[in-house]
Parts: sequence; C-alpha cells; structure tokens
Amino acid sequence: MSASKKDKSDNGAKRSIRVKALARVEGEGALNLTMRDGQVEELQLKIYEPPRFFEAFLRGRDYQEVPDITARICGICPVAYQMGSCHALEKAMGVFDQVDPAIRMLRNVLYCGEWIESHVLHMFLLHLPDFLGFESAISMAADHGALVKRSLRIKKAGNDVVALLGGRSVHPVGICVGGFYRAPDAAAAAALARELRVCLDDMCEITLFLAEHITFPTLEREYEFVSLCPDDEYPMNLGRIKSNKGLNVDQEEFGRAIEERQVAHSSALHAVVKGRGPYLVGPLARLNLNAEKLLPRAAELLPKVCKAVGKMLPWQNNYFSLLARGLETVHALELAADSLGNYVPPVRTRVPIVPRAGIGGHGTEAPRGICWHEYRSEADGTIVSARIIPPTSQNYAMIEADLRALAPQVVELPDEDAALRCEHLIRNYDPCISCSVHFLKFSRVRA
Amino acid sequence: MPNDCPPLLVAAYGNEMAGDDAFGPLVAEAVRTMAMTGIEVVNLGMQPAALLNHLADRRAVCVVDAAFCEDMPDGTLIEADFFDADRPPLVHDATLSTHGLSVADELELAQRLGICPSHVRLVAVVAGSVEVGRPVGASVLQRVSVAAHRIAAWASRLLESA
Repeated sequence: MSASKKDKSDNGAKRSIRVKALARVEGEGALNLTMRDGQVEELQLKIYEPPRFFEAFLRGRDYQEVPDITARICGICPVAYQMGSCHALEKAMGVFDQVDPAIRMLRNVLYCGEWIESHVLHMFLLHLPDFLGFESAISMAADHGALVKRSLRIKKAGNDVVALLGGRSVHPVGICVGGFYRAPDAAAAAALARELRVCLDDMCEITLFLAEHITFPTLEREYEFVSLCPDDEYPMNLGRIKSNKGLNVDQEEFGRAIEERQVAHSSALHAVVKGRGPYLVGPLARLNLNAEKLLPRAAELLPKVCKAVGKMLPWQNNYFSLLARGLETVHALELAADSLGNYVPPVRTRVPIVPRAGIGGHGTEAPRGICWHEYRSEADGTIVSARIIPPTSQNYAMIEADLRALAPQVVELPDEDAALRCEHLIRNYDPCISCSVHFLKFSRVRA
Repeated sequence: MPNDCPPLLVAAYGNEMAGDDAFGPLVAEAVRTMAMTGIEVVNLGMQPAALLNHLADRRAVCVVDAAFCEDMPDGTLIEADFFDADRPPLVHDATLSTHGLSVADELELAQRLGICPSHVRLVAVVAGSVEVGRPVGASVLQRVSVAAHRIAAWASRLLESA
C-alpha cells in the first residue's frame, strides 16, 4: 500500500510523485517520479513479471504439456501463450510447414475470440473511464449503462468463440501442438457466426462514436513500432517481424534482434531493439504497420475514424490505442463471423508429430503485442529450455519514455490529477498485469 | 444468457497452479460432483470480469474465492451475504484481485446495470501462500469439502423456498 512521507529537499522546486501498489499474485506496479525545476530527475516504473516462473516450470516437461501450462500464465490472454508455444514447438518438432490451412484458419478464429474479449474489456471497463472522466466503470455505468451493456455483449461473444474452439473460455484446453484436439461443431459455429455479425455492426457504430466524441490527450512521440507483418493478412499468428525503422527479421531471429536488459529498479526485464532502443508493440503498432490488410468493415471504418480525430495514419499518439483496439475488434469480429459462417469441419484437426530434438522460436500477436516463445527439446520431446518474451516487458522501456515525456505536463497538477494522468498513460499500453485498472496508488513527497 | 438458465450460479475464481488460490476451483469441482438440479457451476479461473457474463436472469449467485485477511489464520472460512450491511468489507482495490476488476467491483457494476441477482453469497478461505507452483496448503485443503457442503445447503434452502 502507499505510504506518504515528508521530503526534506533542499528547495521548493523538487517534486516527487510516487504511485505504489501491492499486488496479490500476478504482479506489482509502482511508479516513482521525481522532478526538479520542471525536469525529470528520476523515473522508475517497477513491475514484477510473473511469466519468468514458467520458463523454469517448463523444463523437463513433455512438449505437449506446454500449451496447457503456458495458458495459466495469464487469465486475460491464455490463447496468446498457447499459440506462441504451439507454433514454436511445431518448428522444434519439424512439422511447422505441415500444419493444414484449415487448422491455421481455426487458430486465427480462436485468436479473434481473445482479441475481442481482451480489447473490449480494456476499452470499456478499464480505459474508457479515463477518457470520459469517470473514476471507474462502475461510476461510468451510471451515465452510460447502455454502452457498457452493449460492450459486455460483444465481450461475451469473444468468450464464446474461445469456448467453441478451446473447449472453455477460461484457460482453454482444446489446443495442442499440431492443431486442436477436436473440431468445433458446425451448427454451433453457424449460430455463433450470427451473433458475431450483430456484434460487428454494433462495434462499428461504437468505435466511430468514440472517435467522434472523445477528446484525446496530445502526446505525439517518435515510436519504433514493431509487429508481425504477414504479406496477405492482418497480423495474428504468422509473418515476419518488422518495424517502421528498419527491423525486418524472420520469426526465429527476433529473440536475437532485441536485447532484454536488467534494470536495477525492477525485477522485470526491459527490451530494446539492439543498437537502437525502446520500441512499441501492440494494437497501435499493428495498425500503423498493417492497416492495408484490415478486412472490409474495418477498412471502411478507418478513414471515418481518422477524419473524426483529425489524424491520418501513422498515429504517433498512443492515446489513440483505444481506437486501434476498436478497429481491431471490428476486424476480429468480421474474420470470426466470416470464418465460422463458412465453416466446414476439417478433414483432420492436427498433424501427427514424432518427437525429436530441436529448437524453435515463434511470436504471435497477443492483444497487447508480440508474445514470443523459444523452446529447445530433447529427442523424446522433453523440454530442455524455454524462453518467453511477453508483450508487456517489451513495452516497459517505452512506457517509461512516455512518462518522461508526459511529466512536464503534470508537474503543476494536484496530486490526484497527476497520478491519474500517469495511470491513464500506462493504461494506453493495456499492460498485462491482471490488475491493470487502478493498480497504482498514489502518494507524493513534496518539499 | 438464455432465460432458461439454472436459477442458481456457483462461480469460482482462482488459479489452480498458485497454492491456496486454487481454493475456488477446487470447491467448484466439489459442488459440481454433487450434480444438484437448478445449479450451474462455473470456474472463472483468472479470467477478468468474467462473472458479468453469467449473472443475467439468475436468482442467486455464490462467489467462491481465496481471500487475504491479515488478522485471520490461514484456512479460516468466511461466509457472508453481499447485501448484509454487517458483512466484512470487501477490498475494492483491484491490486488485490487477479481478475481485472475486483469481485466487489464486478458485483457493484452488475447492480448498476440491473443484472445482479437478488441473493449473492460470498464464500472465501483465508489464503496463505499463493505463489505460483506451490501446492494448496493443508489448512485450506481441508476446508474445500466443508465449503462445498455449506454451499449445497445454501442452494437447497433457496431452491426449496422458490
């Protein structure tokens, strides 16, 4: 919990903002920001990142256990961890190129479910109250109950997609290395496609409404945007990893193109592009690098949204990540609706695998950015080593850079307002700490 | 949510791989094996704001979770009616929840949206270690069956009074 104390600073121009939190299981976040004469003297975002436990867990396990174990890393994005591990292990086992197109299609649909669920949760229950000036979704619901209810219906549709493909919406169990344990029922898929179409229309309307009615804070920054960039589809499971500043690597090379650094003030690693520095992953990066691959409904909506906010792509203001999530939700709803509407059960649900010694690295697009996995296996399929680079750790350095840029704007604000502005900025990243909403508490040390 | 859904919901939260945080899922499984008519049991795991998906058209819900309470020993069973003014306060601070919104916040939001059942029972155990990879502690494990039977008794009373 937060603790206030008096600062004995040597002049009245020093101000420290401390945003501290205590988390239960999955992580803790704290922000210490000290400014002197309006300049940032010290800024430290401290976050504990739980996936590190799992890399050790996985050693000695059978390769086929990995997707079920990594699903438990996160309650928000289990599919991301499952997709990353499945693709990487299929490379290690030498079957990556044998995975059927029908299985790849179903994987994209499954991922759509997670994007819908995660994006809508973040947009409407965690992030939107910041923009509309409410303390929380609860107080927002008093004035915008109908909007919250509409969002819950869309979120539930995402849950239902995950349940259809994964057997259940919480830590899905239907996914295996090589494909799925079983294919979804065609009638259930058709019924869900109809609901997704209704939600698609609604999400288009809501996203444009938000673009037209929200006043977005201004914080234009020169980001290096990094995402998967497949040739022929909006990024989800496949594609080379590229940036707007020249990064262009095969999936396997990504772990060596970036550097994970230890920083003294945090137990979480900070990732940077080797030779350059912090980079941004997530919906804003994906949209800026892949907008031309959006499906028709999102592609049709994009120019209207750009017109409403008065900014064409690329967006350099991460507060627009709210709208990027909206557009991606529209894309995911359309992809899932089309795929399930035309669904025919596949001939086979998974490719056969003979375990072998190998190594494979692969990243997929979790709702909040690239989630990259690398595994080394023994001849019998036992995991020898595992490396997982979650999206939030890749964004930490950029969050700190954003906060440095924001600091001069908040230095004269009252305590609560300053803390809220810092939290709001952090929420732009939808950090994968389950407790991301109000996960920061605030106290200030002032001379 | 179809209107013919079971009137009673038992919703468990928790991470089965994180020591005493497995309490909720274990109780859910114990209640499920009782196969009582009129009850749906869902394990919400670590999924954020998932309870909201399941509340509409219910008569009653029982939320099962692990809890922290500094002045109570590990394994203490806490039972309360959410609408009881004298119940122990719930911490709204989401830092103490692994569920994106705290359980208290979800229930309050459900009330605002008019989808909160008229009966909300809270059943929790005071957790010790919730470290990932740790087994469930003995003091918590022995409360699983007790909690399941109390939930069954609560459900029976409600169903009989319907």
